[in-house]
Amino acid sequence: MKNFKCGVEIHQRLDSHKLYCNCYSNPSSAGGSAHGALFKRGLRAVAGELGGVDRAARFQAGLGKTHEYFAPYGECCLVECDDEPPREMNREALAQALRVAKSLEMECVDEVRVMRKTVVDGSAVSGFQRTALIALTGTLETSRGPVGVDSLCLEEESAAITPEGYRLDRLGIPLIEIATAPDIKDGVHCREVCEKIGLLLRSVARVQRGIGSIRQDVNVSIEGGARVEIKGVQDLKALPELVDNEVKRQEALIALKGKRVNASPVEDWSAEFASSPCRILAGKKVYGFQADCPGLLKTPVHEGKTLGNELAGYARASGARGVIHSDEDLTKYCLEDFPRKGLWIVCSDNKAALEAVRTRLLALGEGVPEETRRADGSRSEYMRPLAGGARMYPETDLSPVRVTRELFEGAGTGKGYEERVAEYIALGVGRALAEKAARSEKRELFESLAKEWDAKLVAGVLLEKLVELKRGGATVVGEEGLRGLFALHAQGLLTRAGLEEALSRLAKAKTKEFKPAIEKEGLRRLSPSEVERLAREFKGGFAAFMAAHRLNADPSDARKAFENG
Amino acid sequence: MMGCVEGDRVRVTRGKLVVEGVLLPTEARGTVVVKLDSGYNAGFDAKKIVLKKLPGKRTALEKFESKKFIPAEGLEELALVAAGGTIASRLDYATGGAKMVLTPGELFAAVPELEGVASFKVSRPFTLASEDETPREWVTLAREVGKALNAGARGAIVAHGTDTLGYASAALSFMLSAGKPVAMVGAQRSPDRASFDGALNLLCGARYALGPFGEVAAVMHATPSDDYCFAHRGTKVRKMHSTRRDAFKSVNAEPLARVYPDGRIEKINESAKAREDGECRVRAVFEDKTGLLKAYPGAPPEQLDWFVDRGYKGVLVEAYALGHLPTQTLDPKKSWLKAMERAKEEGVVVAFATQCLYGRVNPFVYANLRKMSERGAVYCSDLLPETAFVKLGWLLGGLKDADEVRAGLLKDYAGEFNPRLTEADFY
Repeated sequence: MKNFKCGVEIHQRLDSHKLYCNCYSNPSSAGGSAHGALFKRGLRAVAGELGGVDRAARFQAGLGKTHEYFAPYGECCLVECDDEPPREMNREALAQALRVAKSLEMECVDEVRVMRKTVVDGSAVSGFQRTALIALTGTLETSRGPVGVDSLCLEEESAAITPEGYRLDRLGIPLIEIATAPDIKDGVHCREVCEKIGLLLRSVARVQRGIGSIRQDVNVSIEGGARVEIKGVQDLKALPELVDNEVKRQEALIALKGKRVNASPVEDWSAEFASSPCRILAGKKVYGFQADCPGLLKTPVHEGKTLGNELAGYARASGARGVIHSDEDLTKYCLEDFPRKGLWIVCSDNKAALEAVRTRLLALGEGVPEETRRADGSRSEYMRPLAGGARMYPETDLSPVRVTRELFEGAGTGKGYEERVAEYIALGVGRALAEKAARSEKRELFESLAKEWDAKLVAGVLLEKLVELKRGGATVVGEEGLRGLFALHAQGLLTRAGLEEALSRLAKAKTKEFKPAIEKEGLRRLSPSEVERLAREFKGGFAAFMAAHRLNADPSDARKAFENG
Repeated sequence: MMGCVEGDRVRVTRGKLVVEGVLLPTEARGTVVVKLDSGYNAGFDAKKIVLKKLPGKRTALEKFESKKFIPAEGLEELALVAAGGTIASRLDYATGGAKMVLTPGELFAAVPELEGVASFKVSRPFTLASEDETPREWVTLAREVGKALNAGARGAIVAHGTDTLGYASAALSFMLSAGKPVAMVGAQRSPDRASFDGALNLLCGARYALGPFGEVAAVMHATPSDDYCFAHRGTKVRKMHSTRRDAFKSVNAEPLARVYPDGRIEKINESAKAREDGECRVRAVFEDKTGLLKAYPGAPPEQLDWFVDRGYKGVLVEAYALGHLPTQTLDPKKSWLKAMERAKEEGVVVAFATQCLYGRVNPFVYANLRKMSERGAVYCSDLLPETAFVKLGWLLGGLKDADEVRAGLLKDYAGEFNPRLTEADFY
């Protein structure tokens, strides 16, 4: 494929208080307030700094929606509600961003200037997302050569949409946005780049984990096509196919270049459906139009998707549930006897949605439009026109932040993923477990415990045994209890098996009472002489002995006893 | 900057970093600010970079969408007096903050729905942030509004800054024998934002100005939602929050009405005056030498002397609760009795309103209150301190005799007294 260009934008939530206020929220963890304020707001399209109104903003403000918001009291204040100006930028989040920028060998700006990026779909109450450029021009090494990193920004997370409206607990969580240059070779490479950046972020910065805490947007274009942004990729495994499908989609649209389509205006066809056998449309307000290209909508765009599906996406972006057209199997709608001939398309209750479909159909001959699409597994659907630079406006409520030497150096340098894995291996942890530790959200706890106790034991207990117990529904000791048990193990008072047993058996005991508790629970490790005595009296071999005294006898003591005896 | 001018296309080089964009004006010395092609602005240390001008057209900055107002046919005419404030503000490159510069055309572009509501005769007597306004500007505003109403406008909207919108509303309430509705509107978020709250306030303000009432009212968001506004009586309204959209509240009174952007108006306060389409009498006067003081623990009575020494004609004191000022202090120098006596002797009118805002002052409950009454203090019932201050200055501007002013302070001119405070007036 000629002139394939692909770059990604990665958005990672930081685990810190919000970027411009003192609220904290982690939507991936359980909890959150049930009580909060409910309110409704509308948004209008406004001009950018150079006077232009962004086409994406105009498109969405034109939908004339009123948005409903729920602001939980525990996770939101007046700042998220756009009823108080932002507080100063979260310096910890800025430090994390600088640290990531350093790891990618990027050039930081000298003065961070916060911008308002127009977003009028309602996901920001103010109508904009605050975003600031932190660094430019870096490099990421990959198996297929270096990939340029164009920019690193620090921005606000958007509000989460729910069937009742937007929830504001997510709004304002700091996000690092990393945009690569269009150096990605193909879909498989795209996945590698995303994985590498994800690992780097988790390794260098303090990030939130869980569903939605990291998102990928992919930009794809080919010769004769156009830049298309696919937003919200969650599953990296779907990336190769998603990129391939976008290439196929653009190729299919390029093949239609020059195609002339004529269409009638959108009109009210309700009368024709008044007593229609089609249950979806009967008695509804139905709009329709005809075009001179029967069969065209059957054109495959890529596997499992036709041009008809593609066009329906434009109707859905305007709030319709979809369209029905004559290139479909009409028997499923009981419309096989509908009298109109040639290509016709109908949509119920939403004239604007059908107008959007008609406009797109008439523009088919112009090739691939620049647009933003929403990822849906390995496919994508139209979302809105591609946003441009006209949507940026300076944030007048905030002063610029000077990146002083103190700030820059104080941010420190984070360790990369590979570096951490090598370090853990050097501490005696096997490669698989070391990789698990470096990826784990318990990484910081692991490192702190491994400083005091045997790293291999810590890794096994923390990343395997505890996970296994929790999966089985067991209640287990907390961090303090864990430290207590490792200490008892180090003092020779617990065997490894005894320690693992104690994880759940002592879940409810106080740490300072662990010593009597292990005695009471029969978990105390036997001294070598006690093991030797027991072994002497035991009828059977080493394996049977260990099976009987697994929790209390250390295998090395038992082995010695059997060898000596 | 090496021959580069704001708006030029430039290239910034710093080591391996090379970026291009439009050079922006900046408030920060030693920093070069560039709008990159991605739309981001970024600042670079002027000493560390090489800045090069690139060929290409200079970009015009601060270009905002303006709109010629074309009302639908057959609509009634309203006066729109634009006085500045957040409702007419946007980015100022010199400071990086917002400033008051928007023209009425730009305001119409921000709220094109106004075209379907009324036609507007626009005037802009001044453009100020409301903290920069003085009582002289209230006189100008009253004359401007009075002139427009008498020239046939069905009602008037005054677009005003919110900080002193309560004061200005009270001033216009006293200065205009309105008869016709006057809506004072403002914004807590500027029109360069998609969440501009002034749009609803302007629309509802226009609806109020076309509506059935004959009073000056502040028409502002009733709730955090963009659904309707309250019309608050001009003499009973106060900004009660520094930043919220629904910052304005009626104090010691119910709002006059709920006003919806689609034109529905629901009356709440039974005492709301009905529209009278007669002539609007204008009494636009204000005595500049009117002062305002606040009681606080340890407040030196010399503060009052300071005003008397400088020839002030009247002073409004925000007294404690029922109208208390220190009278029997352990340190006799902290008692205000002497200063009050002196003010009375010098013919200075001293009036008290409560710093509790809610409730009434009362001259009788405690002995100390009676002592102040004997020294000429006027207890302004349930007036807000700001309204009492405005009323005092207005009366002093028109009346020569101090006793007439004292009597006038207790007379109702613009529905400023609520004779019945009920449980419902405090929420």
